[in-house]
Amino acid sequence: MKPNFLSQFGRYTVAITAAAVSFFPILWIAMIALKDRDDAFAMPPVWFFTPVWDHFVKAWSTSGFSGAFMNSVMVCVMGNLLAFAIGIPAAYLLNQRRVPGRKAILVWLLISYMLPEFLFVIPVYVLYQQIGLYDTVIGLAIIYQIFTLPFTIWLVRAFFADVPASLAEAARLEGATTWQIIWKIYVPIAAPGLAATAILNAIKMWNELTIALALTFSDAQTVTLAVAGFRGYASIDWGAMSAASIIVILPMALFAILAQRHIVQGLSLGSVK
Amino acid sequence: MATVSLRDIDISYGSTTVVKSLNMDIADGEFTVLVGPSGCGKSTILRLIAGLEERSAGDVTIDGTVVSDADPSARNVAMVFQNYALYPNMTVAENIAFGMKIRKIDPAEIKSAVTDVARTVGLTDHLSKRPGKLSGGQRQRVALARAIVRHPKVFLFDEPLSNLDAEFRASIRLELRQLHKTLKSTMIYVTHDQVEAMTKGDRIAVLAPIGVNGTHNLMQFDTPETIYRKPANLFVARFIGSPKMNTFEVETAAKGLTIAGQTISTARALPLKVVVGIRPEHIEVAEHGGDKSGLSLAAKVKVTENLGHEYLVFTDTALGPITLRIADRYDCPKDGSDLTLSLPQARLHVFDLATGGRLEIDPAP
Repeated sequence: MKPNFLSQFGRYTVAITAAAVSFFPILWIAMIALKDRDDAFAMPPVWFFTPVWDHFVKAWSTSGFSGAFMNSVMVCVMGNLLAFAIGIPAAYLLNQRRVPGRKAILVWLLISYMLPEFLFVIPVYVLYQQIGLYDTVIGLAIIYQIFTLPFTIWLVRAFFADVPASLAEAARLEGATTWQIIWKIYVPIAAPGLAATAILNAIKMWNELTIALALTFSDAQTVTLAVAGFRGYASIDWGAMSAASIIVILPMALFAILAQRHIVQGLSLGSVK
Repeated sequence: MATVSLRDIDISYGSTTVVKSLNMDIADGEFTVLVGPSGCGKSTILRLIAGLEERSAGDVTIDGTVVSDADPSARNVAMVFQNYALYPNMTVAENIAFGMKIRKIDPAEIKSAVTDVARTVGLTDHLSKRPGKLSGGQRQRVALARAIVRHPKVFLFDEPLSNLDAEFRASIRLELRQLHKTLKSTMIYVTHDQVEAMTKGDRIAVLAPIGVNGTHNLMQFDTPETIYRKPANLFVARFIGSPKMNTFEVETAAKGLTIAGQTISTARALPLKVVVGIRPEHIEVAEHGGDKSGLSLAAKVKVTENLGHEYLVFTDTALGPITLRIADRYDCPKDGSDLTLSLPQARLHVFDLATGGRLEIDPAP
């Protein structure tokens, strides 16, 4: 059936509206970041202007911002390494029928993922102070496991479940250990899914604010905190703050675009082969 | 090469019994086929021998050593899976070499072994391809190569041809037979296809779901000829042969049984009720001339199927529906026409209705 003009028009209207609504805030921030001080909040808005890059230079050179950026990168890398180091073997084992308490563990993982993160902050704050993990990047990567680990296990488990069990059996007959089966067969086969999981994990950790606010002070500050830091006592440097926001959004947006196909596959829980 | 024996094997999952009181002795170098309908435990038995399944009781012996509790890798058996179980992330060569790599065998040695086996199964040109790029038949060969390269004591095949189309199936079936001749290894082959079983096995084990008689799965374990000519029970009689054997209940008299008004006297007393069977290919048609010495039976043709080389004729008789096969040199009988069938006495099979067991009915002297 050939779609007629009206239904075609309707579809595009809906699609463009949805895209515009979600894109507008980003566009607005980008405009503030690129305008000079006088144009930034002019009413009616100035739509045509010569972009200025001063705010970006200022944001990046603001004390602590580039450091915070690197901290966030490190948190994402370490958080993912930890999540995969524990999550991959866990996901494999939780797929085996013979693991006692398997159902209970899976339900608990789901519940712990759904619990409000702030619940953990107060007790962990005290603990971290005592054992020296307060205001450290590794400390953040560890506490982020409360959501990255369950998420990783659930997702990887779905990807592993798509791998026929006979592959593991064939490998066992050939003398492979469980460890070899996981790393030489399951991980390479599920690699696209693992990549999607890593990106989704990274996005969540990159954007996290509450826990980072409570458990860091200066050394391990993350980008989200650094952006909030542009709010001074007396005034807010809107231009630099907007530029900083764009810098923060950019890597994750790039990630999402590059890995879009894998992420869609990941979100459909491995049902697409 | 090795013998395999299964002693008093029970396999249950929770309250479900899959295999019960199984005893089998497979000779060195024998090609054994396990055949049966789904749920008969044939794959489970194969996986038990491989060590992928736990038994509830009994012992598995390979080459004289009890391996019941041994790890799959310690049993030195190779298995070809129904879905081939090739590693999709590795090339054909890497698939074949995987086991040797795990065992840290010298790379040069691995390479020559892979080259040799690839030549045996005709994969030389495909060694650097991934399984995804191969046809079903080629994947099957990779799975075979992966098994052969290990020089296992026993080869296990789990319905390896069921994913192939008919043409490939016939050629691989032949190749497997050839392979068995060359390697002279013990091979155990699982299938639900009775034609495959008949054409391949040195001996066939016909298995039934445990519900069929309640005490054991193994209905008969014998050569294809014996299984066809002297099925040990009603289950085997009905399972082997296509179309399946015609059967009908018959009441007996002292030392004899009466079929359609004609009495056959027997040397020994029969149980009160028996089941008489005759294969569709053994029924003669009086109108075609031929042997008329058998029991004569009037039949009305219900419907026919033309298979080219023969016709399948479905008829109604006083004994109930009877199917027969007619060679294509005769005319296909018209629907609704009348035939006189002749059932040769030597071709009749008699089974005890109560137990299903075979009864020999040597005619009285």
